[in-house]
Amino acid sequence: MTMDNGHENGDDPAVPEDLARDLGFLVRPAYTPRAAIDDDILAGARRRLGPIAAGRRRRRSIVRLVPLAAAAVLLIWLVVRPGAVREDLDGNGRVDVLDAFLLARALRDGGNLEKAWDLDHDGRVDRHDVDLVLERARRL
Amino acid sequence: MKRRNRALELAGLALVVAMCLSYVLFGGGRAVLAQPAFYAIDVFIDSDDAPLAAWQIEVSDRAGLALLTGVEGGEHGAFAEPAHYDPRALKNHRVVLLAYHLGEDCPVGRTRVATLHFVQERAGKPSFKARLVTAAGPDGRVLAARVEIQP
Repeated sequence: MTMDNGHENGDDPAVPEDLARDLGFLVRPAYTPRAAIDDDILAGARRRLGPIAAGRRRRRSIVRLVPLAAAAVLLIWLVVRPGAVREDLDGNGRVDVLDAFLLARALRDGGNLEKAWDLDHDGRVDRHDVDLVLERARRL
Repeated sequence: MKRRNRALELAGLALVVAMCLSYVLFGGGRAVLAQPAFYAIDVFIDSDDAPLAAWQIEVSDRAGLALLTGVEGGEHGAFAEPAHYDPRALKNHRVVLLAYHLGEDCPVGRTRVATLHFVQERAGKPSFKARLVTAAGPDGRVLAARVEIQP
């Protein structure tokens, strides 16, 4: 006597699709898998904390920019600050009679006159530029 | 209420201290002279044996009594013209003086480079102080000179 086990040839272990679907329904776990819970928590945390973290990142980037901005301002001030550097012709860090004397001697000797010495921007280096240096040097 | 009273006390104390300080600093307590006193001081620069072609000095009255009224030139022809100074120094207790000479005939040694005229309206003794800012020879080289003032 032979028993019919539903297999055509007795070697194929495949489960019929309908049976598998029914069995799957029956054995489906009643709880949500742990990975799904983690994902939910993560998504919720991202929703709530995302804006806060973004704000912190923004603030951090602003704080990082402060020294950079200060350095940029200092650099600009050193390069373009009015008067103080322009009239310091000998570059000794202050405007004094030596700067005026230097310019006056250069005018007297007729040597190479630098364009930067045209302090009044009238297109030429002359006595008026010496006067400007003197005026600056004697200022209280 | 106590805190408010305390604050008022402190404010009053600060006011008294400020008044005392201004009294001391600005000579408020000095008597006004019946006649203003006019006087002059000579300013000398000693460059030793190096010729003096450019100089800059600062003269001030630490007592805050003497008011500058004018500047006169020096004894040597190179600095006979009055030195440059800020007009705001007039009626002030501090002045920056500077001059240069492009010629070859520069003074050597101790020379009077300027005479400063002052007026004093309040009683007391002025305390003049002169400071050499810089000095140079005809070639522009900085000199180790000395400045002194003489009433």
